[in-house]
Amino acid sequence: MGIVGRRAMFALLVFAAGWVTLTRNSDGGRDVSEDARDLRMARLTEELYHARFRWTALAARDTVLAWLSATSLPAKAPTVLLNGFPAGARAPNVDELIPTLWGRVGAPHPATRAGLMIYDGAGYREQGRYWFYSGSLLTERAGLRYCIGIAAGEIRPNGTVAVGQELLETVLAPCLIEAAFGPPGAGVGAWLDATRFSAARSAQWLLRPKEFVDGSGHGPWDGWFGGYSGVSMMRRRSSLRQFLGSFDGLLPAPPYHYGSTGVRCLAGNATACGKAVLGAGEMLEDVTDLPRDLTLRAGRANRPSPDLATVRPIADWFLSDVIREFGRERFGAFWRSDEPFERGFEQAFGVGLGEWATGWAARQWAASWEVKRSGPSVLPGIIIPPSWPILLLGWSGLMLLGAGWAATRRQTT
Amino acid sequence: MSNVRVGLLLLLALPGALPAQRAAAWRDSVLRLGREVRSLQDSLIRGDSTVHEVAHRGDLVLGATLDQQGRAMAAFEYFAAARTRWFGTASPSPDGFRIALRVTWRRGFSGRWWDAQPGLLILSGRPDSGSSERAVRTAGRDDPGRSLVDAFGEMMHSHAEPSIQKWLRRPPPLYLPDAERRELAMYAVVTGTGSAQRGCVTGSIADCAYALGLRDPVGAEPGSPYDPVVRADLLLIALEAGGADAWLRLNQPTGGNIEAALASASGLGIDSLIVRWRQGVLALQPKTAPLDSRQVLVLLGWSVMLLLATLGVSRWA
Repeated sequence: MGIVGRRAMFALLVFAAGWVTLTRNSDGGRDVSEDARDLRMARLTEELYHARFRWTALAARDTVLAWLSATSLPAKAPTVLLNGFPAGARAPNVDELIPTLWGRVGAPHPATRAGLMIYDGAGYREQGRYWFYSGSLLTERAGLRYCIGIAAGEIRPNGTVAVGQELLETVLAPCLIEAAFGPPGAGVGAWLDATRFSAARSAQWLLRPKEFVDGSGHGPWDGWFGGYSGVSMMRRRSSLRQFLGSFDGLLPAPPYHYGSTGVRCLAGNATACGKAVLGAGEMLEDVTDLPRDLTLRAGRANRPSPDLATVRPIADWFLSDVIREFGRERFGAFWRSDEPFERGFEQAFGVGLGEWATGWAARQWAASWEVKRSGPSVLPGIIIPPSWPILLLGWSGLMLLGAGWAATRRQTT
Repeated sequence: MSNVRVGLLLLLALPGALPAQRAAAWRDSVLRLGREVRSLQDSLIRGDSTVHEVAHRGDLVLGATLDQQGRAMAAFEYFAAARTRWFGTASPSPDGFRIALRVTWRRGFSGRWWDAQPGLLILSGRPDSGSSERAVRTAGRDDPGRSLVDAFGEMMHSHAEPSIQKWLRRPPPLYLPDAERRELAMYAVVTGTGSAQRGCVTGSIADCAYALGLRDPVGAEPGSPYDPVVRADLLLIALEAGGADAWLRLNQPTGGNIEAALASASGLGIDSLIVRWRQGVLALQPKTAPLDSRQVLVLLGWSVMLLLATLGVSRWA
């Protein structure tokens, strides 16, 4: 090939490089757009979920309150009510679980009473969907603090009532803490009220050693993607950039679904970690139509629209982890303290809330399944997608190789 | 057992039977919403081919299937405005017209997608008798109004005076937004290379008239006329200037004299019409350069790098 031919080839290669990099995919494909009926379906489904959750929550609450008015609960162990099931029905796993858990609590606090109501979910089923309330009702009557776990069950053909083991532990978790430590003081009580007990839904402090990392691989907070993270970066890209862009999902991007507070906490900012604990009830602030004596979780009672700054709900097992870390005696002092949450924490445990929470969050993050994809280090700030250096270095390298090879040739004409 | 205890046990045994006004209200909501969701789901999955009347105004009647009714009104308004603007109350035939627009698309909810039954929009111009002018089109969901207008424009073109049809060569591109059509015309005018085309740009009305296919050329080698989209642009300017009955006046017999037809339609002298059209087209020329300084520097930089690399291909004594 003559010199002109080689130069033409080189120019063609450069053109091809630019074309492959910059040419955009057509946006063709199927014509998909939302019809008014699709939007209406989405809205109706949302309303149906909202209504059913409240129906089951309020109906269960009414049943429990009527039960409490008619019944005197004993102090030693929880009383179980099977509501809506045939007479004589039994829930075998309840019969096994309650003695196990209350046996580990020891002597319940004399100012507390506990119970469990399991209601028949069949009465609330709609189109085969099961969207029921489960949680706990905490109320005071005649100087006593009552905690009643509420869960939906179903009757089996053999006449037994089936209810999930994990669900039972969750709804009884607040009752176990109060049975062990009594009614909360003003400081912790205010935080529990703000978070609707959402961080007190684990009983693992009774069952697991201190080293156990709770959560089954979930991170320190409930991840919520706001509208800011919904932008598709895959549209209108060239085929090469689209291919490389598929690796962008593997880059060490901060877990923005934890919000800016969570990201900064994972990056080691103790102040942010403190805020992540104290502000954990932010996403429940808009729930005003359910009585405050019912425990709730964000996303079940509402459909929040968080932005990057919104503090995400902290893990269900947060309080359980505090108990396991510091022991019952010191936790009891913290629990009953009337000091504000953060001060009470430091007084009882001798370490700042933010400082301790930083280590706790790091351990949770390190044990989560997400860290296997993103890596343990969280790098907040501007991050270049990996496709950019690959493209830049790749094409530059190819050009250098081509120029280097050409430079070794001797011009003969 | 006392009646009171029996009553209490019964109360405890029945879910939702307790006197809880708020719970009962939510229960009623659940039942009502559940019925609505089921009904809507059935409707979405089955599709619905029944056409219902959506709107009527004057001699226009629009019907649509259920899935198209959401956008049918917007399409109707768009069509009515465009028809009035270009054609007044004219109709392609004394028997009226009918345009059936099949809208094809995919739909889905809850992560499932499927090819939906094609929706249908039927626009009738009364009396829409058995021998009315008919057209059937297939379109996507983006803008059914434009598809209706375009189909109507084709009908009107096919029933226009033969001399007008011949001069236009093809139906006016009514599916294009005004801005896009005018930009096409501007581009054709300012980039024309023929002698008459250049003369039109510099101000010669006679050259413009030739390039627009209205007159014979002035010079010996005038070059080619403009693309038909430019003629359509002139026509639409004339119709807009002429008002409601412009189309009817355009199609009055003139013995094949297009200039007279355009003048009659617009209510202006032909030279005045051409001047108005020319000024409008030339005013659309872009004011800013396509490249800014940063882009020029980048371009020059890459060019220099490529040049240096190319020079390095050979050894130089």
